[in-house]
Parts: sequence; C-alpha cells; structure tokens
Amino acid sequence: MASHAISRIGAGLALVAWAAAASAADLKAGRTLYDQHRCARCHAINDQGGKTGPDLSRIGALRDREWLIRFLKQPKSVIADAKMMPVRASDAELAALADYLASLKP
Amino acid sequence: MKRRTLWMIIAALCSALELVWGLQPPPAEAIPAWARQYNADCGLCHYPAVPRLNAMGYRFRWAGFRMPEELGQEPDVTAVGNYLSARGRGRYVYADSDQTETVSEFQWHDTTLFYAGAITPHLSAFNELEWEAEDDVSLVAQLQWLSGRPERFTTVRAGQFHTLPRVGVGPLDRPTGISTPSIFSERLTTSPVPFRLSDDQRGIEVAHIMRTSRLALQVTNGLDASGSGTAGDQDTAKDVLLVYERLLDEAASGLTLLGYRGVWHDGLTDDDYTFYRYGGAVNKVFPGGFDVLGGYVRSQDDLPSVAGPNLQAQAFFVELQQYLRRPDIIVLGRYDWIEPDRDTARDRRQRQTLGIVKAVERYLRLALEGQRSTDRAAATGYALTAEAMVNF
Repeated sequence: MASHAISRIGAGLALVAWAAAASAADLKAGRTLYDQHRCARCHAINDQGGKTGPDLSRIGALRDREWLIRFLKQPKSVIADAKMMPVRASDAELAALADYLASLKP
Repeated sequence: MKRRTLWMIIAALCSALELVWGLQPPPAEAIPAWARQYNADCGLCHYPAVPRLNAMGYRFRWAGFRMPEELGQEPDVTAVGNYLSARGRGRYVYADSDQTETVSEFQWHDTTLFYAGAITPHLSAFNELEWEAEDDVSLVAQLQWLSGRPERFTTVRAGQFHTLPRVGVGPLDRPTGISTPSIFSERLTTSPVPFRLSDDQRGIEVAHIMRTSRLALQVTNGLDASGSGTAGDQDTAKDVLLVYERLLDEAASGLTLLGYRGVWHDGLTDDDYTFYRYGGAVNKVFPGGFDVLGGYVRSQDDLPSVAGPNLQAQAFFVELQQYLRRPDIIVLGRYDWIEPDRDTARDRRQRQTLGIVKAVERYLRLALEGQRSTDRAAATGYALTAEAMVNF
C-alpha cells in the first residue's frame, strides 16, 4: 500500500518536472523568437530595448496568452490604431512567443 | 463646352475615387523600407497621411533614419529590403488661365528610387534618384555622421540635399496635399535672383539636436546662373541658412524659424546680387484632427546699382486641414499671398487651394486639388490636379 502511494507520488512529481521542463523550453523558444523578430528594436524588457513601442516588462500581468496571440496575429483587430504590423510566424511560433510574453510579470 | 468637359472629368475622377473607396484592397504585403524594418504601420511615423511625418518620424529623420536610442548600434546592412523603396506618381492636370493655353493631360510625374538608412553605428546615407517628366533626373545623395546620446546629439550632413522644405517640421515637411505653400516653392521677389527656398543644393550642414529641438547651420554653393543648386558653383561666395526647429507635441505640430543669406552671380552682366530671407512657419494639430498651418517670409534682394534700388518683399500662407477618421480622409484649404515688391502696387499674387486626400491601405495615396490663382498684374488661372501616389 505504502509502496503504491510512493510510486504514485513519484509519477506525479515526474509529470510536474516534465511539464515544467516543457514550459521552460517553450519560454526559451518564445524568447528566441522575440530576438529573431527583433522585437527589442521597438520594445524594452527590464530597460533592455527600444522605446518606440510599449515597455513589455509587465505585459504578462496586463494581458493574457489568448489576447497576446490575437494581437500578434492581427494587431488592429484588438487595438484599432495599433502601429505594429502582424508578426509573420506560424501558429505554433506565435503561441510560443505569447507564452514568453505572458510570463513577463513583476 | 470647355466647362462641361471639365465637369465630366471631375465626375469621372470622383467616380474613380468612389470605386477605390468601395473596393478596399486586401492588406498589401509591400510596405516602404523603414516600415518593413520595424514591422510597423505607416502611422507610426506619418500623420495624417504619407508622406508627412509626426513627431516620431521627425526624430527618426533627425537621427539619420534610425530611432534615436539606436545611435551607436550596428545596423544590419545586409537586409537590402530595409533600405530600398520606390515611389511612383501619376497625375491628371487641367489648367486654364487668361494668358496661357488650356492644359488637359495625364502625366507620369515621377518614378523615384530610394536607398537610405543607417549604414554604420554613427553614419547614415540617403540616396534618392527621381526620374521626372520629360526625362529630367534629379538626385539627392547625402552622408550624415552622428555623435552623442539619444537625447542630445550632433549631426554633420554633406552632399546634394533638400535644404529645409520637404525635410523640415510642420509646414516645412512634405505637404499633406499635392502642392507646397508658395512661400517655399516660388520666387518671392521680382528681381532676377532665381532663388526658391525649396531648391536642392550642394553643401554641408551641422546640426545639434536636443530632445525636441534642432538647431542647424548650412553652408551651400548657392544657385548658378540658371537657378540650379545642383550644377556647380559660379562664384566663391557661399550661401548660409540658419534654422531652429521645435516639435510642439507628439502629433505633427512644429515650429521653424529660419534666416538665409545668399549671393547670386548673374553670368550675363557679371553682377553679384546679395539676398536675404527671414521667416518662420508653425502648425498645431488639435484634438479631433484639426490642423492649422501658417508661415511668413520676408525677403530682401540687394541689387547692383545698375539694376535699380533694393527690393523688399513679403509672403505668407495659412492652411486649415481636417482629418476625418471615419472615411479616413483629409480635407484642406490654403491661402497663399505674395507681395514680390513692396514699392510696386498691383503686383500681388494670391492662390486659393482646396484639396482632399485619401490613403488607401498602406501603399496608395489619392489626392485631388483645385486651385485658383490671381495675379493683379496679369491673369486669373484655374487648375485641377488629381494624383495617385504609390510607395512600396
């Protein structure tokens, strides 16, 4: 009985570790996309980057993942007078970028 | 009959505009180079329509076609698409006056190639090759060196360039409509001096930028006997332009004060003319898209004794614009007034301009302008110009 419980806890921990690892990988992929698309030309994170667009240091506390994906796909569909053009990337890449941005919280 | 033809043409143009309004094309992939570079909408740097700039656009131009905070950063010069752009302008022109033949023709105004942007952390280049009607080719080629911090830096610009009109702020930027205010684009006195403030010239400029202000000093060749500023120098004297510019808000409001001293050599009589232009221009964009623009230039031409007494002249313009968000159009009206010789009566020139501008997506701009010109000494003229401008 005790060994059964221990194995269940072990499996649960392994699942959490796997999920955390996957999440970390997604965030890393999102950060890579952020660099590849040169978002820092216009946006700053923790004082690193341009000032043309809004500071993204706290964007994760202000917008959720779904909102960010919609914005990245078609900015004017979310903010009518947005000055940014759609980010040209696959749905999976946009999701990874949105995951990264959503993780930016104080 | 003539008038009926004109109204038919106006009706046809209005129908064409209506057609374009109704058939909004899908978003274009092709956008000008710097918008591509920053993945940005035209509205990031332009207001109320391309090519006129807003405060962001002015700062971008002052910093050598980069954002000021990018000063000192290595640009990616291998991305050719971020530097290369093209423009084409086609027009229909109808003009009628008491003294000239009636004109009614379609024109291809120009095809222009741009290759411009930041090329090193402290150096920028701007090259513009414009093929105009009748095979005229004009070139703007300049190098700009920059040094300092984003909020305070110095630039040195050298080459063959637009001196102030078309690269200034507010009324001295490129016009919202088709035509440029007369005080910048026309000769302001009746002397033989062929000078216009809008003439391109060869020379050097030193400027200092402090956040929202720019102080610049230009030394240029001046104009040759034919009136060209890009065909060499006929004398050793240089022209000097001193300019102060200030951005008044984040929209597109700006103030400019200018003083110009030039020397023009008349090759026929071997006489030198010294001339001066002093003035300023200002505009204010109000909430709701209402824009008031104005400018004044006072002129003095010191003539050689054989040519008569010195000339004094003055000129001004006032322009009102309204940006209408819902149909996304700009309507404008301008009044130009030139008194080319204060000592001569009945020589004033006036012009009234009405226009409408419509941006279609990101690459096409349509504009329609009607003008009535009166010259007390000569004639009254009417002109109608419709223009399609494409940038990509």
